[in-house]
Amino acid sequence: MSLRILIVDDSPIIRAVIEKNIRMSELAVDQCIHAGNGQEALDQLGGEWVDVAFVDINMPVMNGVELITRMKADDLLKTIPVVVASTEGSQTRIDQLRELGIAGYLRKPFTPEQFKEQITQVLELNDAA
Amino acid sequence: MPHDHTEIIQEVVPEVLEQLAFVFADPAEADELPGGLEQGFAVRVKINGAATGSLTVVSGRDICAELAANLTGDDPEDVEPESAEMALMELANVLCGQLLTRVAGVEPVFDLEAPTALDSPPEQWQALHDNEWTVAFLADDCPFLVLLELSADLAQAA
Repeated sequence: MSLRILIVDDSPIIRAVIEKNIRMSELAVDQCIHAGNGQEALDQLGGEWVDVAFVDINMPVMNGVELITRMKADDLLKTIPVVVASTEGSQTRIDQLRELGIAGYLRKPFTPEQFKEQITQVLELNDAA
Repeated sequence: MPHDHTEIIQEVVPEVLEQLAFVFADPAEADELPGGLEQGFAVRVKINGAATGSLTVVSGRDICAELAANLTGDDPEDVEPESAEMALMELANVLCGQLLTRVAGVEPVFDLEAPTALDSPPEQWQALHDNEWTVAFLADDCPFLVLLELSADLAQAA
């Protein structure tokens, strides 16, 4: 199974770092699709299917919370596991994100092992569901 | 009197630099640093929410280029100034998130604004150099200054 992964972050450098970490994780990744904010991500998701989405929280135009809320309100998009990749360290905020239905959470700075663990975990969870 | 976050900053900055970009930093005394900044960048992250304030970081150009190269896998010689500055902005963003957790714990909710580049890095360098709350480092022999300023209501948030 080759994975298609959506990376949503307003920083091109962080998107490159996330893709580098994902490709270093030794998982079979076919394509990483980049989006600079939540609206760009929704535009991408209108025409492309992805297996997992890594989403930052603080972004211009449309932030990560609004993106996740919109995805969870859509019958098709709500099945895509969302992993938040953010600087956010507040447990209160993380609990709020989990209530929105995120599948996982990664805090910057991150490692390839964390990406491998998250992707493996959420896809197994997704298959079981 | 502002809160003194020196010890936390001295712990967090080397950890993040090493984990994010394999750059090694050591705390430095002010008299170990050069008197000015010829080439470099200055960035700031504004903090809202449980407390207000900002994190300001000023760094020499070389360490920013090295940071960008380590982040992206490019050669440091090929890093454009815009990429070096963007790398420092992202480093400041990550540092800010980590520092706030160490300073205030995991309960308070902070909203970080997008990092911004500051004009006149040499002037920012001088301002931080002269500020008693600035924490200085040498990162791969390149000067690196960090100033965390938080409002007094932080004590209630923590």
